[in-house]
Amino acid sequence: MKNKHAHVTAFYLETLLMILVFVAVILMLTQVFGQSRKLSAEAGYLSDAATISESVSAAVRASSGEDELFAALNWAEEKSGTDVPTIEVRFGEDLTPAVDGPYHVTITWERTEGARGDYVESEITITRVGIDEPLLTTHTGTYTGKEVRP
Amino acid sequence: MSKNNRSLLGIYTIGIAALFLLGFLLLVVFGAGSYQDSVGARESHSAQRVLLSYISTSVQQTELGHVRVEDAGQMLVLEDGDTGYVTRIYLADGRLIEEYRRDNTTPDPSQGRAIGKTKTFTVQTAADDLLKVTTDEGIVFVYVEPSTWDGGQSGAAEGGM
Repeated sequence: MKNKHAHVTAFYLETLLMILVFVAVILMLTQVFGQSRKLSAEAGYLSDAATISESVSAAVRASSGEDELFAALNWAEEKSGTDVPTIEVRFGEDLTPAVDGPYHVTITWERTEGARGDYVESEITITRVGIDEPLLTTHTGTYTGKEVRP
Repeated sequence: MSKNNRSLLGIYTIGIAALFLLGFLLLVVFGAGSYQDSVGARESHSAQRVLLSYISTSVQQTELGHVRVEDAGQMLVLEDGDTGYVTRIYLADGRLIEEYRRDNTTPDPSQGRAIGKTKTFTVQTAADDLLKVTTDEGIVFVYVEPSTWDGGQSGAAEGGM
């Protein structure tokens, strides 16, 4: 009788232990699945940021002056208090400038004068609402003098 | 009493087994859904990169010939220098087709290859030296060297980007 009682107690303890291990595994796997969804979403944001960066670089190259760039980017705003001229613009989910888009783009315009034309360097930084770290930072440069173009 | 104990133990055992089974099923369902979402997202990102980046790279690579837009912004034509051959990019049957043929030929999707799937493809002039390309996967702006831009029937996008 005592032996049987001991067996039953052991059985309960073993199943309790099994349940604890099972719960721990489920919690761990749930975290893994959640993390994979988060990484998937971030990869999408990075893809969007790469396309936006491409578009903004094209606009920088097509502009011969800061005013032209400003005019080309709808709803752009000049950022004050910076060492170099800086333009801020927001992009929407369709990857075009939008008034209240989730992507914030900051473009610097640093001009170096030359004998046959000016060289402009731009740093393009893209961030997204809800994410502290910048998604992407790229640099581009272009000559604005017509003489240096073939 | 002994019978009661045995039946309680049996119910307890079945309950535990049922709990484990339910847990595994939920894990499988949740995991499969998560995997499907990840694969779908990866395909969507790839399609976006392929379509938009390929088009902008193709335009930027056109250094010796001219870039023009035909068919009211529905076809992008990139000349291959003065060889007489052109690369045409246009929409056919829900796919973006790239075709490399003589300039004086009629576009024929069967002679080209599909770049990706999209139901929309338009090319417009956003500003001087700046083209706006629109597809299902998004919009990209492409710089065109002034010496290669031949204009065409693109029409103008609304002012600026």
